[in-house]
Amino acid sequence: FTTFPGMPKWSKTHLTYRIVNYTQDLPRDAVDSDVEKALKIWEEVTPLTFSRIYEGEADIMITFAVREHGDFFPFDGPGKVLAHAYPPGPGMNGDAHFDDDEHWTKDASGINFLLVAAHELGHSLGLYHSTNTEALMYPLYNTLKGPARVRLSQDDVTGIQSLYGPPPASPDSPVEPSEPEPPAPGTLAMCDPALSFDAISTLRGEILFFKDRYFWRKTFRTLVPEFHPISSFWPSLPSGIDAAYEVTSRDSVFIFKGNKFWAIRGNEEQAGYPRGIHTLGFPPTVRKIDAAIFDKEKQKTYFFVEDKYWRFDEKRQSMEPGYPKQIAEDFPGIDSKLDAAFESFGFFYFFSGSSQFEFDPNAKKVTHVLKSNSWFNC
Amino acid sequence: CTCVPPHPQTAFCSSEFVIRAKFVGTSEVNQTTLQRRYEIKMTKMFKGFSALGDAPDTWFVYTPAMESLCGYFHRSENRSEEFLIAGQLLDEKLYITTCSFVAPWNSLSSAQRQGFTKTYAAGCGECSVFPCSSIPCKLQSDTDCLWTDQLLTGSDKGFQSRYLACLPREPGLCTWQSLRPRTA
Repeated sequence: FTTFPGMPKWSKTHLTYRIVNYTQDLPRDAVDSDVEKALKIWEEVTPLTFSRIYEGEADIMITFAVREHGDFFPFDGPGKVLAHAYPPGPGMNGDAHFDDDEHWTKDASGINFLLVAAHELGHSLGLYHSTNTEALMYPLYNTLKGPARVRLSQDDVTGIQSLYGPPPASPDSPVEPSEPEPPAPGTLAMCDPALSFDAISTLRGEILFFKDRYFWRKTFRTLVPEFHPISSFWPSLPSGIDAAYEVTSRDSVFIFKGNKFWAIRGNEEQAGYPRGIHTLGFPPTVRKIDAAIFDKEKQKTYFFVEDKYWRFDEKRQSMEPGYPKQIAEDFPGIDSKLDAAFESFGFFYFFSGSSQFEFDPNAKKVTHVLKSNSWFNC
Repeated sequence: CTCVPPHPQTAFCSSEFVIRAKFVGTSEVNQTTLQRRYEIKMTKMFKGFSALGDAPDTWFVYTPAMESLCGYFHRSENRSEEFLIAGQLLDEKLYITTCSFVAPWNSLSSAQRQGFTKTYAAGCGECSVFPCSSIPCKLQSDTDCLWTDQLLTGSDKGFQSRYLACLPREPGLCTWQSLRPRTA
């Protein structure tokens, strides 16, 4: 990391910000919530706090503008310069300007606003650029970091704490480090042959393996899966979830715990959740789901509960009549209580403790028995 | 400052001037405008004749003084090294940022040098390089060429950047074309 020449920093810990205007590319509340998220990323690792004001001069004024926009540094149309920001101080200092000739998006289809905002606000707080390509303060926009990866690297944390120090210690609310925590020895080692999972789901071609407060994220780009706290991607999701499945046709992943379920889309938590599982048509005797799997071809979801399963029609959004049925009858070979399940290349993978069963739904038989962590290339 | 580095053809087409020059002398910062200026000696002009005209060969190139405002910082101390510089004209002054295409002439591939010297210009009117940064990419028109270097290599300096130009093939259609010298 580096800081501005002369190390300018805010001499107070409570700062105000104001969103002066908006882009046409995004709904206003999307901009509001991304700015809030971007500030929170810095707030979590420093004593700084932020509050929003709606008129007058805030410490950090956030504007969208094109070309010449009242400073000496005009924007340059689409591409190249996406945004710039000023160091801490009065007047225009602290302000962040975004080039509205870019196509700003919530996801990675255009320029992801959250990713750029988090970087620019780092400048507003006193950080210069980092040469570390992992750092949020690295100057090149990189979608491989992706909207789901908007988080600080250790380099960013060290940098901002060199200016403001760590957040005040509070004995009853330990601060979560933004770096993935190393697994507790012996309990969450991904290559432990005894490893089991709480739930597994695909997400846009990746596979997420949930366990306690954490998940492993396996992409086809990297051999070794990433390991993150669930809360670093989806702050309102609970830990120790029961089941998860992706409805690819709706670009949504549904997460179950107890009698509630949540919906996420990428790194976004969808509004209107959690909902009760009984709204899906389960009888009141069902108190939790063990595992769920979505069959892309049929557009149906299988819910596994104890030794029975239900089938849900995703197109009609209703539970199918004639269920529950016995798992062992229709999935011969699957006869232990399930922890997790997901679909990949037409096969169903069922997980029970440290064992994994590859099931061919057409042949209706188990084709392989594997260790649960076989996906981690241990 | 956050940058999306351009494909060299986009850099050529969207810039108001494209020159080859040496950085001579030291830089100075104007504390009022917070701009830094570098003295350069121009050795060749590829674009911007009408604006720059029959000018002297010594120029200043201006850039924000702070890197958070996208200031370009010149690191090489070698005053005889030639650089390709593509930028904008701001009040008749040469203006670049750290997101501009500035690269040692010797680091460019022969295809890129040919592109800047003559070929990229042929694609400017009709064709555009369309950066794909996440899957799926949608091309908006037949005159776009899909640029996947960033996606496939995580860098803007991949194959399409080093060897290809997006050029008209027939009216209403542009395609990637290789600028690599043909081996007979």
